[in-house]
Amino acid sequence: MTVNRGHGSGGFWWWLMQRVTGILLFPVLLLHYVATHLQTSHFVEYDKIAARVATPTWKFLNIAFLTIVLFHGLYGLWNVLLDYLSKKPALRAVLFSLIVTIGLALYVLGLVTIIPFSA
Amino acid sequence: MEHHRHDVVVVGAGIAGLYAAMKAGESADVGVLSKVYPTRSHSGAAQGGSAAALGNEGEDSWEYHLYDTVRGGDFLGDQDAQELLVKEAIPVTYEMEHLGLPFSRTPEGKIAQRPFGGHFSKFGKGPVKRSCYVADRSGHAQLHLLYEQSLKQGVRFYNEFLVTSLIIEGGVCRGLVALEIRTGNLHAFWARAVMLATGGYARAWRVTSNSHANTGDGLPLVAKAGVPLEDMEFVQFHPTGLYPHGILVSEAARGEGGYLFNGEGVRFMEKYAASKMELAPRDVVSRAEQTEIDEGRGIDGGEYLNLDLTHLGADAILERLPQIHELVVKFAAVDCTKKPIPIQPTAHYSMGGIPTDLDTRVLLDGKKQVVEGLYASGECACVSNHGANRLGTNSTMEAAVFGRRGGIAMAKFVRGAGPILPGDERDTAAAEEEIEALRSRTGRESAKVIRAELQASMTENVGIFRTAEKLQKQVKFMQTLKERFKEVGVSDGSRAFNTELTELIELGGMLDFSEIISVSALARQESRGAHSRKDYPKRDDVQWLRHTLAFREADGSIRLDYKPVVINRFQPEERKY
Amino acid sequence: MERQFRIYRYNPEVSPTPSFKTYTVDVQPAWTVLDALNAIKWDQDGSLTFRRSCRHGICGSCGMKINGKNGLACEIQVESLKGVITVEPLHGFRILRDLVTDMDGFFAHIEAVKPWLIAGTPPTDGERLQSPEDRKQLDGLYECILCGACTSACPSYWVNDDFLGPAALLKAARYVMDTRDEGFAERVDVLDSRNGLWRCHTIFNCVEACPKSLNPTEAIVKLRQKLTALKI
Ligand SMILES: Cc1cc2nc3c(=O)[nH]c(=O)nc-3n(C[C@H](O)[C@H](O)[C@H](O)COP(=O)(O)OP(=O)(O)OC[C@H]3O[C@@H](n4cnc5c(N)ncnc54)[C@H](O)[C@@H]3O)c2cc1C
Ligand code: FES
Repeated sequence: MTVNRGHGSGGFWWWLMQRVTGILLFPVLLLHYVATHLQTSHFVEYDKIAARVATPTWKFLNIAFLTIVLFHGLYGLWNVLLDYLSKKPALRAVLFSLIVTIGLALYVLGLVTIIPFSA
Repeated sequence: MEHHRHDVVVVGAGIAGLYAAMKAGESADVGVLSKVYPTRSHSGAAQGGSAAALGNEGEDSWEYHLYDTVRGGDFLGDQDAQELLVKEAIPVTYEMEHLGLPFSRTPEGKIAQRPFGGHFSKFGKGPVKRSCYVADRSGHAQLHLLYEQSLKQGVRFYNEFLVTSLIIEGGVCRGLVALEIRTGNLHAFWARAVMLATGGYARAWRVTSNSHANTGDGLPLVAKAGVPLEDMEFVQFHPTGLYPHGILVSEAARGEGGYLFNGEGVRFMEKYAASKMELAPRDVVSRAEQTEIDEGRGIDGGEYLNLDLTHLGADAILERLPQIHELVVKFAAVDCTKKPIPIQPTAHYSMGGIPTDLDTRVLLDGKKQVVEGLYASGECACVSNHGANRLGTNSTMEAAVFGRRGGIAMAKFVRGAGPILPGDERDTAAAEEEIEALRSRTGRESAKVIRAELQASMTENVGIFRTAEKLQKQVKFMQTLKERFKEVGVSDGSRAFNTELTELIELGGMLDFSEIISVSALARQESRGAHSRKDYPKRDDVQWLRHTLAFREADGSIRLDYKPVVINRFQPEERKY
Repeated sequence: MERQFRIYRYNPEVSPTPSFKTYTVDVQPAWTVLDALNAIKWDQDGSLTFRRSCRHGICGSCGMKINGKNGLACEIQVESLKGVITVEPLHGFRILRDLVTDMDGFFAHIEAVKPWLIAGTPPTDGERLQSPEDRKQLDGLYECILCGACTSACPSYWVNDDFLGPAALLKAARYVMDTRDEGFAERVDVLDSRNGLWRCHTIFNCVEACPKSLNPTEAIVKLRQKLTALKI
């Protein structure tokens, strides 16, 4: 048992971001869903979809989607892990670096896919 | 044995002990020992509030409060102490507000006040609102506040430590020995000042409002050191104990306007206190109830009466008496917004106790000579604020005012005193032997049976109405119980959390002071306040306007002595309500 | 009426493994579980160990798990329980003996939130004023009896006893929500620490467990709102 004497900001901004991304996730996910699954005007054709993904608006939307999902998902995972890691500072540091690394790698991968894309 | 040192050691973490610890903690190193976690102390059960003549809700003054306290105590209280109580009640209430006590408030935002039995304005003539309250959780809020403030002061807490002996040599208290309940180990504490704030002793009765912990432990500790116990025969029976548990239904229920009815549907207080009715002092109301019950006018001829709140309306009950409402639902399955509450008198408060001076220093002879370094305050002490009968809301206030005074006095004393003089195994050997002997007892008597017989006989013989015959019977019976106590065995052989052992230690103490109560009550041939003798129904100021001092002699016998009452303002007059 | 009580027994001085022992008790009308435990201790088995004091639900000593639910033994009527009555110590705390748990950490967490009014100099004569409406903010916060039922019901606390837990956070709210208090900033360090507010996943077990019908989750939400207002 270690008594909580406090050690600076332990999560307010993270918690706030989790809330914000949680809320944003909803419209972005909805848009994504509508755009990819509820399109009835045409069949799924590479050309048409590629043309849409290449527009600046959709690039912006996809980057937002990527950012929000990655943050929300990985922070959610981290938050669950934190429950178990209070007494294991070393493991906590290792897992934190691991999650950040995975997150960054996926983010970069996403970005390099979205940004240069042209139809 | 582990040894500890503190400038000040306080035994007991109720309102009295914690106020003392908090105050002393401002300048001294303080340790507090309590047999229960501090917030579990009995003070937390106080519901109605604490009296202070703030005058927030109508005219009031400390002089009126003083008069009520003197008269309520049937003129046996020491008026110098009572004057301190009522005067200091005012700044102490403000101090608690400043510390953060969440008082209920008036519409203007001041501390709210409510009426309470025995409190009046204009020297007994008008009604008054004097009790400062926190809904009906006043004691709870005070206890938590003072605990938290003591933490803030850096007071060191030793929780679940049962004090078993004081170390007093040559009129000086040097420390004490305590059993750490969690491990079963004994610890020695060395200090310049020790305060006892161990609370009341009403657990010696069968029907009681007191918690299991209220076994009066502090009294036998000092009696053993030759200190007398003062006015022990004065035990208050509260008129509204929930039937059949005896759990308290706060007087706030009557303060807010509740009525008492007997089995014939009559508001019987008309007969006993026509002008003050339900708000007459407790001793008066309890005697009225007991008379109704004894004369067959209980509800259905039984041992209880009805406390009716229904006319107040459900909203008022839920707003101002939420805890009472919850309590009655839980323990009597009665919804008091719709039905009356079954009640009976219940042993409630100990007016008597360890004699102290105005700075809470314990008096070795009960009169002038102090035991250096030993203090007592709260319900276990007798300065005497309450005389023969305590007024509701005066006791948490006493605990606060005199706990505070004691804390300040101890801090001052340790500043001027030399270093702590720690002793060694020689000083603690006797205390250790005593506990080890108890632990290894193998007799065939049962502690439970003895406790039950003690409680039943005290209720029967040293209850609301007493006679020489009954009291003699009890004094004799105490000998039998004490003999049988020697044959009680301990079946639990473990050290850690051996509550069979701790209950046995408590029982030993109860037998000790119950005998003192019985002997003191037998000697007092008059009726005064809570001490009501059927064979001497009148107050006798010529013979008995004096305090009892009961000494436990080295040979185990009890010697009675008396001391005069301090009367410097109000001369005794007939007490009529 | 005869009722059976299946009670958790553990005494490390006797055996390192806990076990259950069943007792039959002749229960009287209006008896609470505490009355039955006392009867067992006094008549059948002096070694049965539990805490109790006030016996009317105000001191918080007798928190335990009764038929799988946290509550106060002294408040629960035996009649209200069905079948064999199982009594266990509060979950999540170290068990010292039988129904007695180690509450030191619990109280240390209470202390950690600085449970005292932090405010400027009070008036020299008389009280600070506080309107009845402002005072009402404290209802539902100051009544906690520290029995531990909520913290013991909290899954976040089960896996991490460094988490302040619902009781300590409720206590923090009792001071933070007091209009007389100016110490929120001082408490932020603790509340906004890794084991502070953020370990609450709004599971609401604490609300269900509280024998005094308090709502620690709501208190936690209020603290988060306060913190948001402070930071943004
Ligand atoms: C149900 C009820 C309601 C009440 N309501 C009111 C009210 O509304 N207003 C009012 O003014 N008064 C009221 N009273 C009376 C008042 O509550 C008490 O007189 C007062 O609280 C006593 O405080 P205390 O500090 O002296 O003792 P307590 O609060 O009883 O504390 C005693 C302390 O001593 C400790 N202790 C005892 N023995 C030992 C030992 N051997 N070793 C170590 N520690 C020990 C205990 O652990 C505890 O911490 C009420 C009493 C009851 C029973
Ligand atoms: S004994 Fe006090 S809460 Fe149960």
